Amino acid sequence: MPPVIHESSQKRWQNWHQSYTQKLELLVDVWNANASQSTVPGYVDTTQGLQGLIQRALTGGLEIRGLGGGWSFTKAPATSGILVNTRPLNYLFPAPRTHPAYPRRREDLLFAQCGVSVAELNHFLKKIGKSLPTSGASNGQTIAGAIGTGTHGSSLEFGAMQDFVVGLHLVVSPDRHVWLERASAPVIHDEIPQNLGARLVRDDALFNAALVGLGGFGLVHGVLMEVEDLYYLQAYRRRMPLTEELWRAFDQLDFSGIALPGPPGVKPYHFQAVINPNDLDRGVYVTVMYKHAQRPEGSNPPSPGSKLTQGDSALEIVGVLTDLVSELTIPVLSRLMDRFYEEYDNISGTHGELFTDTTTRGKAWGSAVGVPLGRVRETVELALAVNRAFPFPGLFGLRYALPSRATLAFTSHAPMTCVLDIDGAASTRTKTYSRRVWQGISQAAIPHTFHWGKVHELDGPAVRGLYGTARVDAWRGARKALLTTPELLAAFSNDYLRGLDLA
Amino acid sequence: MLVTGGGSMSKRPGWRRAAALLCLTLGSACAHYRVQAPGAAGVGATEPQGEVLWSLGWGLVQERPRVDNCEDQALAEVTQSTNVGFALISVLTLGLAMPQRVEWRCAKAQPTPGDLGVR
Repeated sequence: MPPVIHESSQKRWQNWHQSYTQKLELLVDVWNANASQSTVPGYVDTTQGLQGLIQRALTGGLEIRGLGGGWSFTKAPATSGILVNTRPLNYLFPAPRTHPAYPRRREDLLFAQCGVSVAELNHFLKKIGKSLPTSGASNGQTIAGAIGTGTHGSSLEFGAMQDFVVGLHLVVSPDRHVWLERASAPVIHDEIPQNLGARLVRDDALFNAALVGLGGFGLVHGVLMEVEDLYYLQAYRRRMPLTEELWRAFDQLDFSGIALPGPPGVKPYHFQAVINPNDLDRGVYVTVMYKHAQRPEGSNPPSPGSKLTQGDSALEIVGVLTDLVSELTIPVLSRLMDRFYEEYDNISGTHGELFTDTTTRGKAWGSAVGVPLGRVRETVELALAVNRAFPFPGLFGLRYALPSRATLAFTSHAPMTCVLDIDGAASTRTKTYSRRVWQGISQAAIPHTFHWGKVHELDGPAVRGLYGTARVDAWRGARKALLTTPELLAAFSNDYLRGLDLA
Repeated sequence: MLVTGGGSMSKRPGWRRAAALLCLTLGSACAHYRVQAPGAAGVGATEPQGEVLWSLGWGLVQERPRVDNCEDQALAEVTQSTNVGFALISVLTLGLAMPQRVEWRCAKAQPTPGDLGVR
């Protein structure tokens, strides 16, 4: 049966964080015809439904774009044409049959339809004794949207979310859809793409480009990911003085000089910091988590109902606080931090139990700059200096990720990317402050990149300057290889891609 | 299958449409009350869809929203909003007419997992 395509009367769409509104021609919700059971025929029918929408866009000379959670601050998911809400598409297919060369167990694989949210993934994986290797601090994004903009967490042993993806099912035209994976690491049994009616394409360059595809590689219909056996994280949060030793931990991930909370001598699996630049004398918040196969004895479960949870970072804090108060000033922020962002000891839970935020909204404004280890202190000191001259009511977050193989991943720095989040209330002051920090980073010649889903002011030359012409050309070339006509390239473009000279 | 959702106020009398428009124009500052299902159930499947609902005659006549976009699923989130314009109407009419804006997001289905085949 064909999918249910519900046309909304809305002619405007607003992103989750309410940072912009986009006029559009048509917003459609796509539901699987049988929403209660994941079936291959149902999935195939929905593929055809998506192809019909692409045909409609081509016929009408419209752009078309898949919409996930809409959590991006940037206009990556926005279009003036047809916006396809994929969130109702949430079929799950665990343990597909694998290619003979695939070295791991098929039970380590999960194929998810594009609209499955991170929260749904966590919920389902726990039931089957599995877990995502990483995720963002929030969990309302869809899997396709999260990987498409390079969403990341802060695991010291893993990269960003796209780095656990090993296969993509892309609907690229009214008569063509492809199963894409790396030629160097085939994963799926050849017959599965055949059963889906998809053309099997094994190509490292195409796959790496499409991973962080910014919505420009067609409609991502399915995502094949590698998951782990269920693990527990033992978590601690402390407010610590910003000593030389802690600076070294931030800058080099060298923990030798400091006593992190938790089991002594054990390297954390997860490490992040939240810095209130207007309240430095009282220290910075450091969150560490240690990985265990079983729930550690004597640890406490997360308390339900807290406004802020164990995994929350700067953006979640600002989102919650701007939901509580309409004007976030520097003194109010410090007081609310004391009230809601508490220290804790020895709390353990699964990944999905600790990274639980589904409600962050508020009038928050977030940006994120990726810099390599070794340049972290310089970057943060620069941001602090700008704040001394031009204070803003906001927070810094420091999170870390291993380098990604995705062509345009912003978490690409070796040996590791540190992501400096600058999150504040959406105000002219926050924007001006951030702009000054970005200018400072650029003038100091610190290699850096920007999160595609958070606020930035990149244009084409800046993208080429930061990512290099070779990477940009590879990404554009892959897009042209998959979207084979000028009409398709135009249909899957938007103002965001054109502004970055990536269309 | 194609289902077309109606405009939220397309069949309303003209005076009410004009009043609602006036309220929305006046009411840039809004108060919101949001009820969201906890956990994964609170991640909605749809964008917010809403209507301005009127309570007339001190509650003798109360409009109900037409939820026609949820495909047999529950609601994940409901937001009720009021603003200066709505408050003015309520006060000036001594509660005879009380507009409110209600928005909802549909919940996601909870499909059982499937088998990609080729055992």
